[in-house]
Amino acid sequence: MNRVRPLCPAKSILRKTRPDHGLRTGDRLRCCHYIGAMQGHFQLNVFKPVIIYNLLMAARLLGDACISFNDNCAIRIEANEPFIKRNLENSLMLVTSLNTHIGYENAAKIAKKAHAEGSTLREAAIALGLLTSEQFDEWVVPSKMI
Amino acid sequence: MLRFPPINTGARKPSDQIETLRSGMAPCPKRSSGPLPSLKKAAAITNRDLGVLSAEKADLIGKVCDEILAGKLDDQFPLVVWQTGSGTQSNMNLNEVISNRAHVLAGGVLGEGKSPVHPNDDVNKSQSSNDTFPTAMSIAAYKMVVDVTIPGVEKLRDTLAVKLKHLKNIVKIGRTHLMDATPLTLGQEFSGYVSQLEHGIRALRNTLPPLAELALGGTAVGTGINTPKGYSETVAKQIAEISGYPFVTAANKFESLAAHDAMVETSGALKTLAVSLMKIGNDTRLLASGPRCGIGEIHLPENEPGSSIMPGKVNPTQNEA
Repeated sequence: MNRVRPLCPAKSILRKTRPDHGLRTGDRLRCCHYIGAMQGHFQLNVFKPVIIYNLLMAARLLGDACISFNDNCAIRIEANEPFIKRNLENSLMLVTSLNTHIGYENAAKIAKKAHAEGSTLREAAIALGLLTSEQFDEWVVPSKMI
Repeated sequence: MLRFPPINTGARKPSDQIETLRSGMAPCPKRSSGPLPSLKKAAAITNRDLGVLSAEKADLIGKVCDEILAGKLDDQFPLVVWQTGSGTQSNMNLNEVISNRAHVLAGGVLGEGKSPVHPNDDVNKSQSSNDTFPTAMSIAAYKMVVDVTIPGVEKLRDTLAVKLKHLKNIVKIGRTHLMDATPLTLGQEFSGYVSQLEHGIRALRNTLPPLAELALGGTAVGTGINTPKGYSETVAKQIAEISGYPFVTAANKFESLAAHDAMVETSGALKTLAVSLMKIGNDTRLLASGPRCGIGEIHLPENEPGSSIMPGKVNPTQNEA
């Protein structure tokens, strides 16, 4: 299984690592009408047709795109609750709720042990002797973490 | 063809302009959907009311403008966007078509005799391309934002606002840097999208007052040379009445001829909205990735086959668009 190697541990509430790669935006937003609007000289701007052509295109495109996305997609979006539940219960970051009970460093130990061994947070916490099963059920409640 | 004026009007032939500006790309929007004919009609009515244009000429100009707005003369406007930067060619194209068609409506024969309505002295009275074109720009931009952009965004915002109510009790994992983070509800996640769109709508609406300021009355350089007293305010009121939108005369005509900062402001708001929509589109397609090997936390509608080779595959085409 491919895993992202922890290149730079993030010192934050979550005690997790993040991939250290650059982000590129793929956006290429129009700037023709900005360039045109800059070209006013003395008493007249002489880029008027290209300014309004691009502005109208952008305004129409956004309006039409919203309608299309709404009618053909957004109105029929549904939750996939089994997948949501599976992802939630598998997540090591539920350990965050233990910070206030056993401290950040101990919570990090639980997360790292569970991650290294492929076990659950509950199993790692109990194996480390940091809390009991009953305490885990009381302190790690996803619905109370929202 | 109405484009060619009667020989003795002395008007420049638009055919010269067409030959020098032929590019095959980016035609100007159809006159029937554009604001210039409405502007010419408003100017004629105002000139009549201020006593500088006869009622007969104003009436003829108004009739031809109505024909243009009804789409009856679309083939008379062949120019492209790549023309002089003041829009003079588009303005004169319209002036000459109105003059020639008025000649025919008055019982004349195209190419013979003199039109009762002169393209420069009557159709273009109290105007310059330098103030008519930016006025048309303001009207077109305002209407597009109010009639197309904002309603489209509001519709999407309303759909997501209703959706989040159904999703508010579904607790899911959050993600930052694309990595597992602490929980939130699916409703909270969607509420962020609704908030983005609300901010976008508000930002767009904030740009409308400056966009509604019209340059008409500034004529060539902003001084209003060749306009009767009271022209700017009256013609703006006339345009507001004809269009149904709250247009007013620009307080400073030197700014409205020489700069288009109001359009830059609107453009900025449109770009912010575009950025928001990218975020929403990307989030929803990533959340729906799968169906077996991705995040798979939401289902998107299956609109069409996504692959010509992979049977059963469906792609998030609306999000990509």
